[in-house]
Amino acid sequence: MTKYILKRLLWMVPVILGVTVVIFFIMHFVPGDPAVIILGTEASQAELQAKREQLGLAQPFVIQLGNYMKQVFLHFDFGNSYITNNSITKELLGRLPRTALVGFISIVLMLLVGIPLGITAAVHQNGLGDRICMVIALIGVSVPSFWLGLLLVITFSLRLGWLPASGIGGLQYYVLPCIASAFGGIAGLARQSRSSMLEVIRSDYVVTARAKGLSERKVIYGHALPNALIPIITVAGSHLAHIFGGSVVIENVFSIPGIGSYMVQAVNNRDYTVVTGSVIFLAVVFSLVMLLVDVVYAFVDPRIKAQYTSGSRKKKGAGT
Amino acid sequence: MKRRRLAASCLAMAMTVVSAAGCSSGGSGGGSNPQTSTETVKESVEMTTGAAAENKKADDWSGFVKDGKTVIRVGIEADPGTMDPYTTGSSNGKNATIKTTVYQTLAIIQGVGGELAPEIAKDWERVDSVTYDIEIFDYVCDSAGNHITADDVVFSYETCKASGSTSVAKYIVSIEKTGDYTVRLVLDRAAVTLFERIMQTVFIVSQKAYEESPDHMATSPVMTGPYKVMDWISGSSMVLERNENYWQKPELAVKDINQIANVDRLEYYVIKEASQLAIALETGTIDMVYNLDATEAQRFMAGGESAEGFNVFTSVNNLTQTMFLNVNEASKFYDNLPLRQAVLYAFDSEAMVDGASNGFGVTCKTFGSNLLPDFDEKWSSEAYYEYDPEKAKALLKEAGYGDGEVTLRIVTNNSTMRNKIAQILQAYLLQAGIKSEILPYEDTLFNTYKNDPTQWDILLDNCGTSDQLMGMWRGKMDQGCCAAGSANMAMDDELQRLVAAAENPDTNGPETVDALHQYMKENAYVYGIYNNLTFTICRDVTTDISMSSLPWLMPAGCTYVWSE
Amino acid sequence: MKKESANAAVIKRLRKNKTAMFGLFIFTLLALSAIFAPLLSPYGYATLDMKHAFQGPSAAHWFGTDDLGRDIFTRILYGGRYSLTIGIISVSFALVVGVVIGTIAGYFGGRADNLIMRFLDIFQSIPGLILTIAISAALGSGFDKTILALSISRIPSFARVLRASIMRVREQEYLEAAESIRCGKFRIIMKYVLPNSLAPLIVEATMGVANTVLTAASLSYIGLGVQPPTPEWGAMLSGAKGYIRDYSYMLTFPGLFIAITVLCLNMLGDGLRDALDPRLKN
Repeated sequence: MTKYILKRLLWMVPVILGVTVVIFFIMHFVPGDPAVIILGTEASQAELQAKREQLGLAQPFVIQLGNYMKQVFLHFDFGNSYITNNSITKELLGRLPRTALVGFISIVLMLLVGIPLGITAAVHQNGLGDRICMVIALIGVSVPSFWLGLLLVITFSLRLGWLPASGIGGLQYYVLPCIASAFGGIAGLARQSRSSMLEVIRSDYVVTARAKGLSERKVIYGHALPNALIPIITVAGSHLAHIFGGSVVIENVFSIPGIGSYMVQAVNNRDYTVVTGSVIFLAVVFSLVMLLVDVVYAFVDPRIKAQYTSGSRKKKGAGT
Repeated sequence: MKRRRLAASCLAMAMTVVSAAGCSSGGSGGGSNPQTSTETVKESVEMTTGAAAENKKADDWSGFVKDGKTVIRVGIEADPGTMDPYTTGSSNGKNATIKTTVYQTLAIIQGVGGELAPEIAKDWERVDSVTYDIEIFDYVCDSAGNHITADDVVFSYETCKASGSTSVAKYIVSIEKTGDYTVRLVLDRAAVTLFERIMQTVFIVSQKAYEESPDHMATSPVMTGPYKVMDWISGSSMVLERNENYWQKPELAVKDINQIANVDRLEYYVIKEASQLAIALETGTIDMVYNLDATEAQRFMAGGESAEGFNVFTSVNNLTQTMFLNVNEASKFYDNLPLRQAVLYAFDSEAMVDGASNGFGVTCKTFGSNLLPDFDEKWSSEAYYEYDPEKAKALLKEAGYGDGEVTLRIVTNNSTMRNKIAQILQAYLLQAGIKSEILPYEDTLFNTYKNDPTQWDILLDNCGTSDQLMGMWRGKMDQGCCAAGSANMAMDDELQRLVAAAENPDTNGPETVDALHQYMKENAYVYGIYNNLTFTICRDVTTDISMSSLPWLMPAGCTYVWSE
Repeated sequence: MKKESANAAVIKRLRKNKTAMFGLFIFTLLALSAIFAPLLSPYGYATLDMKHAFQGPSAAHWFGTDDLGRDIFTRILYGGRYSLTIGIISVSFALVVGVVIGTIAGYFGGRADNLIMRFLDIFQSIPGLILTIAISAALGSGFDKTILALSISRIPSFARVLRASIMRVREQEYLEAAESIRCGKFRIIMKYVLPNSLAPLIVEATMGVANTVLTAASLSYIGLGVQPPTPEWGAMLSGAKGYIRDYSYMLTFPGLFIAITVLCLNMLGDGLRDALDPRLKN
C-alpha cells in the first residue's frame, strides 16, 4: 500500500511540471501587454520597453519558462501580481483555507447526502421516495450553479432571513455556498449510486445473501454497497473536479475571498502571473485530492490492491 | 416511462415554483415608469452631493454604536488590493477612497469643480507660469510618529514619478527642498488645472517609514490621514478607525472634506454582485453603498419596497458617456463632415439615457457635464445635434452614400452601460441607413485599440474630470496626447491652436473655451451623450453625503445624526 | 455480420426505452425550433423597442421583453442556435481529436500509449472549468473562440473512454483473424475496431453536450465566453442576473431552456447507456 502511495506521489512531480509548462504556454498568448497594464496607456515607448525588460518579458519564451519554473519549484515563489505587486504565494496561501473549507464541506455533503439518497431510491425502487429523489437529482444536474446560488440567497437570506447572503465569518456563512456548490454533485452521485445499487441488487450474490436469510440491512450495507462502491467513487471523483472548478463561480456569487475569486479577478484584470499561479496551485491541490480518491479505490477494490501488492501493471489506466 | 414523464413535468413545475420565489411584484415592470423621473431629477441635482428630497433622520442611532464607537459599514465591489501609496492596485478606482482616507496629499480639490484646499501643504504661491513655492504645516506627523518635512515631500514626489503609477507625475520637471518645510515645484508646461491635479494626486509619506517597510507599505501602511488601518482581510474586508492623535488641529481639519472624521470606525466589505449589495443593505449587513445599480437603487427610493430606514442620495456622475469619431486619414470619416454629422443627428440621446441607464441621466450640451464650472450657460440653449432622422438621411446622401452602403465599426469596452448604448446606437443608425457592427473589447485590449486608428470608426468611452471641462479637453483634444493625434485621431492645426489658447492659464477664459467648444461641435469630432446619475444609499443615520472630486464617496466626511 | 445485428439490437432496445425517446423527441424539437426560428416568431432578436421594455409574459410577447425591449421568446429561439451549436460543435471537435488520440493509445499501446496517457494526465490534473477559463482568457471572448476553449477540456476524457473500450475490443478473436490475413492496420481500425468501440463514447458525448451548455453559461457569468447582446442562453442568463429580483422571468426562461436541454440529453444518454449495456442481454 505504501509503495502504491509513494509511487503515485512520485508520479505527481512530472505531472505538476507538465501542468506548469502547459499553463505558462497558454497564458503567454493572452492578448494585452503587461507593461501597458502597469504603466497605463499614457506611458512612452521607452518607459514601456524598460518595464518589459524589468519584468523579464523581453527574453525568449524558453528562457522565461525556465526562469519561472526555477522560481516556482526551487523557491516556491509564484512571483508578484502585475496590478498590486503583492506576493502571489502569500495571497494564495491566505485564501486557501476558505476555498478548502467550501470544498471540503461540499465534498462531505456530496458523500453524506448523495450516496444515501441514491441507495434509498434504489431500495425503494419506483416508490414515491425514489421519484422525488430523482426529480431533485435531475434538477440538480441541469441548472447553472450561479443561478442556483442567487436563488438560494433570495430565498434563505432575503425572504426568510435565516442565513447570511455573502462574505465570510462563522460557519453560517458557508452554508449557502456549500449547498450551491455541492448540489450538482449530490444529484450526480445520487443518480449514480441508485443505478449502481440497482445493478448490484440484481446480481447473484445478493440473491444468495437474501436466500441465506440475512436481514435486509445486512444485505444492502454489508454485501451490495461495497460492490457498488467502485463506480460511485469514480463518479465522486469526477464531481470533485466540478466542485473545484465551480468554486470560481460560487466565490463570485457569495463574495468569498478564495482562490477562485482571486483567479476571476485576475482574468478580468489581465493579471497573468496571478492566473498562472492560481491554476498551478489549484492543480496541485486537485492532484493531491485525486490521489486520496485513488487510495480509497485501492482499499475498496481488492483487485487493485492485489495488483499493487503483487506489482503487476496490467490493469492500470483502463477505465479511469 | 410514465414515471419519467411525471418526473419531467415535476421538474418543469419545480423550476417555475423555485424561480417564482425570486419574483417580487410580478413581471410587468416593477416600479414607476422611468421616463418621467428624468425631468424632475434634472433640475435639483448637483454634481457633488444631492440630498434626498425626503431625507429621513434616524431618532435612535444606538444600533450604530459598538464599544462606545460609532460604526458605519460600507459595501464596496473590490478592495484596493494594495496599500502601497505608489502602486495603482485594483483598477476599480472607486475603492481608492480608502487610500485617500488613510494617506494625505499636499492639497485636495473640494469636490467636483471645487477649490483646492490645504491638506499637508499650508500655503502655496505661483512664482511664474510653471513654478510654484509650497509651504507645508510644520507639525505633520504620521501614525508611527514620524515628523513629515520637506525631505519627505520631495521623496514622495520622486518615488511617485519613478513608479509611473499616476499619469500626471510625468509633467513634473523637478521638486526641490528650499527650506525645512518649503519646496519648489517646477512643471514642464503651463496648463489650466495641471497644478491642482498634481497637488492632489501624490500621497505624502515619511521616507523613513517607506524605506523601512518590507513591502513598501503594501500591507502595513504608515498613515498620514485621520484614520488608521486596523484590520484587512484581502479581498474581503477592511477596518479603519479614527486616529486619536491626528496631527491636524480640529479647527483647520473641518475646512478640508478629506480631513473630517465623523465616524469612529469604518468597516468596508467586499460584495461583488449588485443584487447582493442590495440584499446586504436590506438585511442590515451594511449601512452604505455608493453607486448602486439603478434597478437596485429604485428599491430604496421613496415608494420602493425597502425604502423604510434608508436615504437615497442622487448625484450626477462626472463621467460623461462620450462618442469619438475617428478622423484619421485612413478612416471613413476623414474629410467627410456630412457623414460625421449624419451619425450625430441619427440618434436620440434621451433614448440612450432611457435604455442604458433606466432614464437616470442628464443629456449633454457639450463634451462634458453641464455642471462643471467652465460650462457656458449659453450653450444650454444652443443646438447640439438633437435627434433629427430626416436630416441624418439627407446628410448621408450628401456624404456620398446611399442607404445601407456604409458600415461603421463601433468599439467599446465591456461595460454594461456602454454595451447598451452601442446597441441602441446601432438600431438608430440602421434607421438612418447606416450599417454598423459592435466590437466590445476587454479593458486592456480596449485601451490598446483606442490609440490605434485602424481599429475603430466610432469609439464609445467615458471621460470625466474633477475640475473643469478644460481639464478633460486638454487631456483628450491635445494632439500630443495619443500616438495618432488627439483622442479622435485628429491632426488639425486649427484645433491645436484653439486647445493651446484655452489651456494656457494666461489666455484661458470664456471666449477661448467657447471657441474650442464651437469648433469641436461644428466639426463633429467628439460628442458628449449623457452623464448618468449615481445613487448612494445610506441608512437614515446619514443625513448628507460627502463626495471627493473624482467623485467618490467619502464615508468619513458624511454628515451623521450624531455629528450635528 | 455479427456487427450489424448487434447494432440493430441496440437501436431496438433504445426505441423501447420511452424516456430516452422522449428525450430525443424534445431535443429534436429544440433543434428544429432553433433552425426555423425566423418562421416561428415575427420579431427580430435584436429589434429594440424601449417603450415596451421590462414587460412580463403576455399575449404579444409570450416570454416577455428584456431590458431593451427585445422579445425574449424570439431571443430564446435564436439563442438555441448559438447554445446548441456551441454544445454540438465543441463536442464534435473534441470527439474527433479524442478518437484519434484514443485510438493511437489504445490500439498501438506500448510507448505511444504511455506518452499519451501522461500527457492526458497533465490536462486532467487541472479542474475542467479552470482549464477552460485559462484557455478562454488566452483566446478571448466570442462565439468561435469559446467553442475551441470548451472543446479542449473535453478531449482527455473522450480519449480515455475510447482507449479503454479499444483495449477491450482488441482482445477479440476476429481481430486476430483479420491481422492474420494481412489486413492493413488502418483498415482494421476503421472497419473493425472503431465501430465496435464507439458505443461508450457516444454516451459520453451526449452527456458532454449537456455539460458544455452548462459550462458555457458559467463562462458568460464570469465575463468570458459569449457576451450579450448575442442571444445565447447562458449569455442571456448572465446578462439578466442583475434583474433577478424584479424581473425574474428574464432569467427563468433561458434557465428553463438550458435545463430542458440538459435534461433531455441526460435522458437520451441514460437510455443509450442502458441499451448498450451488455449485462441486459441476459
